[in-house]
Amino acid sequence: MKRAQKENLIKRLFCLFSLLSIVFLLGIVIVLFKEGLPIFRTTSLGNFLFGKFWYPTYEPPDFGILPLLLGSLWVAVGALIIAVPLGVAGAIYISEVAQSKIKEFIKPVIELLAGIPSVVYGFFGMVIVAPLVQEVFKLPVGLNAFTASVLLGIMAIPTITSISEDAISSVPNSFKEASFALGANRWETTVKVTVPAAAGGISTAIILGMGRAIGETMTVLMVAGGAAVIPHSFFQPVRTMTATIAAEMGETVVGSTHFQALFAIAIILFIMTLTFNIIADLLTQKFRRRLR
Amino acid sequence: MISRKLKEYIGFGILRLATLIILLALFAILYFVAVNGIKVINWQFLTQMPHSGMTAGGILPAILGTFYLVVCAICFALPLGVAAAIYLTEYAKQGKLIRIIRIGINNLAGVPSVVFGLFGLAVFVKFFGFGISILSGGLTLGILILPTIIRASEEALLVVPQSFREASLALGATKWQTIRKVVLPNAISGMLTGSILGIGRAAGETAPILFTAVTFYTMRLPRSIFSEVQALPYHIYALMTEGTHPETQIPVAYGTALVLVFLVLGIDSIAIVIRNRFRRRKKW
Amino acid sequence: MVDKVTSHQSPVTSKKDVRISIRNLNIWYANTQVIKNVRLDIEKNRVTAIIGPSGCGKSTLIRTINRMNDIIPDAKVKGEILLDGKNIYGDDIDVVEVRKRVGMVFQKSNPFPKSIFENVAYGLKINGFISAGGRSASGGKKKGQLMERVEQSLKDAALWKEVKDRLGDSAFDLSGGQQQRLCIARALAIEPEVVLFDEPCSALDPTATAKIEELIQKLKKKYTIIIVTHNMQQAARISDFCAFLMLGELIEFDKTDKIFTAPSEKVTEDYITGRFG
Repeated sequence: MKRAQKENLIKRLFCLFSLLSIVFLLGIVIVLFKEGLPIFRTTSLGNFLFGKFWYPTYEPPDFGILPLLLGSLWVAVGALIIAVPLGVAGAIYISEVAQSKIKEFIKPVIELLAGIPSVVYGFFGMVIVAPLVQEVFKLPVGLNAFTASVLLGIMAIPTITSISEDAISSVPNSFKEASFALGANRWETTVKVTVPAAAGGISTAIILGMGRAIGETMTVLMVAGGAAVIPHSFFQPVRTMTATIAAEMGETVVGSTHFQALFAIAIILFIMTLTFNIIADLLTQKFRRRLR
Repeated sequence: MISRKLKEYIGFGILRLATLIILLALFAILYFVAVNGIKVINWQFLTQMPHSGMTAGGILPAILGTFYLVVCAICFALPLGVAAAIYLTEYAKQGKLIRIIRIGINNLAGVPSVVFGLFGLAVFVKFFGFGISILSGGLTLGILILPTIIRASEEALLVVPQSFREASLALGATKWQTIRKVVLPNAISGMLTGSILGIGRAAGETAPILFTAVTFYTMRLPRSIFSEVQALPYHIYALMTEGTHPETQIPVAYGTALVLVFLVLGIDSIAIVIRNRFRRRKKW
Repeated sequence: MVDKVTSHQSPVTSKKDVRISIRNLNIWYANTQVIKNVRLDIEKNRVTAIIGPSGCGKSTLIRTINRMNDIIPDAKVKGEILLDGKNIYGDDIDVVEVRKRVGMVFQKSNPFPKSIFENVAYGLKINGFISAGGRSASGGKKKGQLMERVEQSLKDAALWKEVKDRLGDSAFDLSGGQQQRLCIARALAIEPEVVLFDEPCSALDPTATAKIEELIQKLKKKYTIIIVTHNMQQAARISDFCAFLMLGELIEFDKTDKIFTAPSEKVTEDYITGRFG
């Protein structure tokens, strides 16, 4: 029975390794809460979430993250307005319209789009897009929520396209054949049968895209303008939660209230992206069950 | 009423246009970075230390720094990711535990990169006392790419035909012998290919190394894994947001961006090409 | 040798030559019962064929004999399979040991993507016939022994003449029939007592099939053989005993001659004469 024991040991060892992802995830939660929660001794949760002023270095400091929260949401929503139509249209084109040769070219190209580092998007935004936006809309500065949305939108496209494409191409052929047999043409079949059947997968894609846009850091840090004020227009400079953490962490004293406040922002950020992921997960499962 | 035929024509036209816009965006980025970057890139740029406050000289420290960080990340994440994938595909039975593990992996993949940075700062830099160093940054990046590596390895393991496992087990091999002698040798190339995508990701990330590994300016090359380093992505950021001579820093940033894009996309394309060929050719 | 030939209710085989004895075997996949209360005695040094329409549970039944069903999730086995009087589903049984004694050849040839030599040597190496690289001074000698065993196995599988000059070639370079014989050689190398064949010729042409059938006839001198086949003529040609299975139930078990000339059950006759299946 010694061999069986050894086999069992090996199995347990591998099990342990596979649990590491959860360990790291829990580790992140613990760290965020341990470093971030103490801020609520000095600032109430209400004031933190709904306070209109983020003046972390004033005396006394103000830790209201409403401007940052809204900044993140504005930019992310703006990004989706750009990315969803383009990304979903691209997905439909790839799976329903394009010939296989074109498809084999476009799919890897879109994967490459996902591979470009975010700092390069940020750089491209600063040197090319921002001056263009400034010129076209006659603005005092080109670094604003609009520019950030455009770039985040481009960045979110690969996520949305590839997941939507998976969903659309997994719609059973029998659905389409039924539609063709009833005299519908390809466009009608696509719009009335294929896309609605893939709606679950497409919404998963959109939610994951939203999660990515909210969590994106370097691009918004570089092009959103960085003003921690409540945005009133897309052409105003804004500052997101991620950018705030990235920009200010380097200048805080470890353990100070400012340090704690940044970790507390990360808690909010983490909860938001986790929620998006879980919703996407649930949607995927529901969607799969229905197609089966 | 427009005819159905016309409607179809317009509809497909719009889809085509949208796809074209996506491709255009990619090519615009690549074009501007390439055209402006190529002007400053030469042998010196790649192999020399920077001087005159980052406005002249080369970017060798950033190239090396990124290399060290990536090596450290992959050394950490590859064994862990492969082991996790082996458990998930070879041992685990469908059930609660495996669902929890999957949720863990999915959500780890969705954590914003800057949050990984905070985790690295609190755990590796502070708690373990590794300081701002290659080790801290590499480990942080390693955790970040772990889900990518697990998924790629799982895919590679699933491609190995079940009949190989059956043949081995029927010959009286134990499960572990079967995995080691039959499954892994046939999955290893797929695993490595998938891991290359992880390398590309690790090389391009900035936020996770922001507080764990990088510094804007050093006069020395790193001496050990406890040294702080320059890194390509951070270098671009720093050139654009710090320093006092934007007119001379932007060209350097273009050059650095081109090197980074070339590196990351080069790595990714290799992985994609090998993977596609691999998927097509395997027909046991 | 066989002294008593009766209906399927009582064993048709003589007690003392029984190698495998299946008792009240029931198998479920999830909630579907695929094998129902099967009793069957397999005699040593004989070829026993299991026949029946597709989906009747033939493959499931044969795979339980070396516990290959263990790797199928939600497969549940109840009952006993006695190998030389010992229940292989008992608590104190090492599955690996069972599989060493009961070898298996699969429906589709499944050589490893290794050389011909390495395929045959695999089981020997795994089972410590030779430690990788030769642990001691006797390494050289062991290597020689390994070669001998590989050669013998390939000879037993009637493949030696065709491959002796290219043992280092990939197993995938062989033809379908050769690959299947390689898989047989691989199974024989670890010297099992029983060899299970799960439709070994279903993917082969008539010439290759004839070779394998001839081989099985020879192998029964050394081994106990159980073969699943959907090919009636094949069962008639090569088996000594024949079990007819339908919808998970053992309808009839008898000497092959009897089954094919004077089956006791109507369904058996219908199936054999090709009225369904």
